[in-house]
Amino acid sequence: MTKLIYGLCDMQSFYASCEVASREEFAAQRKEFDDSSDPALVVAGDPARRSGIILAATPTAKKFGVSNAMRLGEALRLYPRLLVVRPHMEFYLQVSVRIQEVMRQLFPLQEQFSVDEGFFAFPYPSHLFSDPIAVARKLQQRIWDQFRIRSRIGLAPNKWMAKMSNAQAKKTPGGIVWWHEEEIPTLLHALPVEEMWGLKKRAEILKTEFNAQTIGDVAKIPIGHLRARFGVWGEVISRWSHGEDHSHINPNSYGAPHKGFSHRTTLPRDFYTRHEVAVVILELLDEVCYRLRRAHQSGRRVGLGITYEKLSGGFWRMRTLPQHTNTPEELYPELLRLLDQHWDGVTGVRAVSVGVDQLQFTEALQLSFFVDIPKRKGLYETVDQIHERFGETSLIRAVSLTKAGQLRDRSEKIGGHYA
Amino acid sequence: MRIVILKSLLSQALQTISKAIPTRTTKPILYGVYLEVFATHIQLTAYDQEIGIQTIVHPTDDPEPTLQIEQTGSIVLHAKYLLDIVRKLPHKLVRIDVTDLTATIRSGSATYTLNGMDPREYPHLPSVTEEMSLSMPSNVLISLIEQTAFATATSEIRPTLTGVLFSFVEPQLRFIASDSHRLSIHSIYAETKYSYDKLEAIIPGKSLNELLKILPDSEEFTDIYIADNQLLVTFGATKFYSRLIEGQYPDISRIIPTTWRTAIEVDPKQFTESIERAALLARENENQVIRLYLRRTHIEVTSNSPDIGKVTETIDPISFEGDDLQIACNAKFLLDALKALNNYQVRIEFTSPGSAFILKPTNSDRPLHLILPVRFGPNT
Repeated sequence: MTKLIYGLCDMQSFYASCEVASREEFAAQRKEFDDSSDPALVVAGDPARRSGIILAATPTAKKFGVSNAMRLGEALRLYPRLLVVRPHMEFYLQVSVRIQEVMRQLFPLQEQFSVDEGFFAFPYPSHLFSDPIAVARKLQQRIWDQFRIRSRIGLAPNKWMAKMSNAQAKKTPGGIVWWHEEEIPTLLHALPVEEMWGLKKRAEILKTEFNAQTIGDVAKIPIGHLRARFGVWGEVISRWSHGEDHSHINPNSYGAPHKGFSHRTTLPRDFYTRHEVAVVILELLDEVCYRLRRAHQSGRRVGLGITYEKLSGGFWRMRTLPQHTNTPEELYPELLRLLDQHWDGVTGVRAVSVGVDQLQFTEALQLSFFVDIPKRKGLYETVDQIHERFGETSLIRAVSLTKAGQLRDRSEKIGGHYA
Repeated sequence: MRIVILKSLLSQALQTISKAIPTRTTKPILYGVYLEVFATHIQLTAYDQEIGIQTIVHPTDDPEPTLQIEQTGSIVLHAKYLLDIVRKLPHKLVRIDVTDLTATIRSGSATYTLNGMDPREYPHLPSVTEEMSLSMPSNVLISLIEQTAFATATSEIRPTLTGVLFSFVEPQLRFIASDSHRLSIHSIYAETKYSYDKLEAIIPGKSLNELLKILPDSEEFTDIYIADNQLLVTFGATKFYSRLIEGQYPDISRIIPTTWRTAIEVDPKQFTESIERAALLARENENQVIRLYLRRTHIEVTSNSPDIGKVTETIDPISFEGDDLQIACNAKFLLDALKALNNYQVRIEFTSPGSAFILKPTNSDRPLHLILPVRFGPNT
């Protein structure tokens, strides 16, 4: 009977690989099956400061003990000749999109899982994919040929097992592993509990409370006991421990309608006045509203998050509105009200976030006696066109030119790092 | 202080003033009712600094005593507890003894000792000079509020819209409310003590809704006083205070259409039921949109919710004048207006799919409700 084989393909040290591959001197000597052909390179949050955090490191850098999330200063102590590169987020995202596209060209049933991972599935046995290892290699080869990036592929009877086999593929020369159903007792059950993907703190509980050392031990625990301890998660754990997973590939997971939009920014210094915080709120709100308009959606609930000085403490509060809206004119007063209600006005503000959710698609325009709604809609459409054509900073609110404004600095960043 | 009072009399007075007890406040004293005992009467006050209510109870000449004043004095007692206690007391008479800041409440077999608060800390009610005043029967004031207060805005985008505009231009008093998508107006001819050119104030919609709960539905006269930042309404032995909203109410003079192209007359009850059925599917969609297809032969009400389904209903209007028309609007606005007009045969006048339509009694222009439609697509 024809069944689906699921695969998970992930990129090795993705950000660092992008940097190596885009530098001629390193790309030329890079070899697909020799990790030591890479320079000892790291991508670090802010290379100018030793307190910056390592975002990615090549296998060569890792050999010296450098690891992700380590402070740059510590990494340089381990290996002073480390090549330190600032992140180029926009470039990584462009590469990511293109790699996902390559996966989709080979496997129409494909789902992006993260910036550097993607699930795919294909029928087996079938004429088109007669040799699973060979088609996996074809994907790996294409990614290497086009991007000079190494990838690892795990194949298995379902998504969760594909994730688990991918972890094995990383430790296997060649980087491709295919787990069969009948190998569950030998391959999966032999792994330590900590390697069960997706459990987080539950793995620790399985070890301490159920005395389970391996996944095989977990499979022996009666499902009733797991259910009693973990609720619905108990069933999931039991299923996984037997190598079962019923989730499907969802090709549109990244294109699916959003449940909400939110933006957050960390400020370069503590803000102490309402006026300054309000400027940042408005800038973030404009970005949220822009995304709402692009998605043709509007929301009924607006939220404000404030993180206090030293990034400790703060609040996240929401307000439900009588009507759906996506215009800053209606949302901004509500955000200021949340600010006035929940901020003491004294404690320094170091980060601000603004979100809108409970979304609906907007087709209808509720008219108003006091505002020309169709005209306002036209205004925002024009503003959006100008932004799309000439850039985000080509047309800004005057208030963003004040000292409190973050927009110009923020527009150069993606994910908090310079693009 | 020491009094003996009829349980029902005390419970009714507490019920009245409890509308001005806040549900949440940072000043605990505001949870209290300020109870004052004078030689001739007792007085109860509650004031959440937005709304204030004061009511007086006098002894009556009934053969059975309703109120006996044994010793004057005052105290502030937690109003919600006091009200719950008084309601449940076993005997029809209640004795209240206060020494220092402790009240002992006895009735039949029950004895409560309540910790009071210091009357000196209780906020003073605003002072309203009783000069600028209008008089009208209580049930007329009720109808002014009922026809308008529901249309006030609940969001603070334009704070003035959270209130009802009280506008007196001799001899007409108009109540106007709008949340910017709909507008309701009701007016009456009011008696005044003095002559004023113009008297205007914006009364918070919330205050009027509370006032509605305690106004007697009778011909009994109420007096309305407007001072700088305060409204005072007196009826019987009760005074009702409310903060006024500062600011300029938007100009609505050019909003009300003077012509129409399509007019229908409907039975409000039948029409309401049709809209309610259509609204069942509109609940989830944005703005609760329903569509009306007005044709000479019949009216069609439809609504659809992409995830759930759609509904179509036809209605025969009592009369139809003018052109066929299609229009979409928020079902809730329509239902609110029809509910306010449920005692009238209703006439609805439309101009175009993109302009406001009017609901009003067939033979009169007051009360009058105006609703702005919803439009679709980029160019509609």
